[in-house]
Amino acid sequence: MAGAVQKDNKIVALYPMTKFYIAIAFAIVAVILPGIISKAICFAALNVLALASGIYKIFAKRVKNSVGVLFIVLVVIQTFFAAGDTILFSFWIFSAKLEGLLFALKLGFVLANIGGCLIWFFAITTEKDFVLALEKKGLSSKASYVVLSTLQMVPVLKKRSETIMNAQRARGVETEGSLLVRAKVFVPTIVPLVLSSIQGTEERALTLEARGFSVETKSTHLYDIEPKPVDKTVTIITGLIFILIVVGRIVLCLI
Amino acid sequence: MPYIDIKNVTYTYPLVKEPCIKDITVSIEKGKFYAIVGANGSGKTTLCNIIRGFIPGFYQGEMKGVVELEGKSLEEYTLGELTSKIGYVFQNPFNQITGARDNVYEEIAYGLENLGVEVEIIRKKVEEVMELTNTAYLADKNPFELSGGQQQRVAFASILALEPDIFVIDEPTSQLDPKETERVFDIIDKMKKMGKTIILVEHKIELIAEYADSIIALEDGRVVKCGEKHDVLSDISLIEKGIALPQTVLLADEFRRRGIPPKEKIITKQEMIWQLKQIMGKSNAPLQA
Repeated sequence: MAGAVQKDNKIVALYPMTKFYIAIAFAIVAVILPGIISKAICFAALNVLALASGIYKIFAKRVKNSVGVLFIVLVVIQTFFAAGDTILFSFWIFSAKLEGLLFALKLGFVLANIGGCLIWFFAITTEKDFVLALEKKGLSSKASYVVLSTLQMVPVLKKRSETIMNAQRARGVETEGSLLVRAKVFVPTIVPLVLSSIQGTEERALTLEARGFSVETKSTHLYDIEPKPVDKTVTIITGLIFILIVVGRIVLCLI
Repeated sequence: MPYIDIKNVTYTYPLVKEPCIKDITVSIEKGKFYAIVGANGSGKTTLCNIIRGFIPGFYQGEMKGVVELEGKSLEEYTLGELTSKIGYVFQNPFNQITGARDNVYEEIAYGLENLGVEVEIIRKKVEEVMELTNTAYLADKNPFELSGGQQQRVAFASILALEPDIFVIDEPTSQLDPKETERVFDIIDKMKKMGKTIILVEHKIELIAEYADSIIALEDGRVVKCGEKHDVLSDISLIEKGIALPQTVLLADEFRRRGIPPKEKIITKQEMIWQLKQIMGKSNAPLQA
């Protein structure tokens, strides 16, 4: 979760599973609703949700850098290269087609909604809280350890790879320059990184054993979170709206 | 009855023909501080793993003989019982950070959480061991962002929190600077004063001479000498077996060669100073412990 998140915000303060249900329901609704306009409205609503959660800047930046890029690529490719009869305009040997543009917008908004939901959820929920909530829902402690330790290890491995890179540079290996030069340095960097990680696995496994990791007792949690009454209310309202939209969509299909 | 009784243990790692530990029989008394010494590859770490029960359980391989704790074979203990009874601190400080928690306070509490200890008791124990290991000021820090020495102290605190009776400690200072080494030995000394049974593998022989009660000397998987530290460390023949001896022992041997036999078995600096004063006739006071 980003540092700028206001923890006292009412949406941010919801229980992780409540926020997760909202994100999942939102993504499913965005997928099943017909037409471009309804999907665009969903995306606009998601922006409002991000704004209300006090994370709009983070949300907009992440959406722009991930789904935004994908959206533009999709629109360009589909508009100019998909088959279609209605030509909007021509440019050199390329022709923009309405069918391709409409398909790209529809698919693009679906992706924007799904990606946006995930970005919103992880911007306002720490991995630690989410994994703890999942553990309380029945996720095994081993699985939760794998998730948390992996997330913890990412910056550690990044730092270690920088150290290896510096060491290789000190030995005369070229690490900067063209793409080919950078590709060449990949092997001498990745091999020591992987090998040193494997080497530490045995000792870390024993460390976990020494800390009672395999003991089959119900573990306690020093850091704990519990759902509040408001979470129940929000979950019920989310569920009702979700059912209403799904049923409405089915009825519309049948008519 | 010995507290830990290692009887005729021979162990061979998987895919290896030659045993790493060869017919070892050692008795360990409760509340004493044992140091295991020997050259690299003499089987020190393997013996530690046997005492903790990681061998043969974790490593597989073929083990003959038996290890008993309070008269009961280690195999009869559950994982939880072994975790509560025998703590293990490893060589590499970095690898002892579990990665399961993002701050030192919770890292130390992790073992107690796994054992299902109540939260209030966890808090009490964690705060106690943080005080003992001088890690309280690191409470909110990410364990991965600490120095090697700080990580090692966190590892000690994590094991101390489990309140085991026995501590198996494998080369805890091999990657630490002299200051951090001193801090680690200070923790070990406190553990000794708490009446814990300590089994330490360490190459810093001067520190062993100062802190340990008994020594188990290994060579090529066999015990070559075992007993009270003065008896073991004053045996100059151990050098030929690849075991380093304190400088004071070498100095005392030099005196002996020059016809000035020391009156006592000397292994520490303090003892040597006392002995020199005796020889020079400057003191008749008995050696202070």
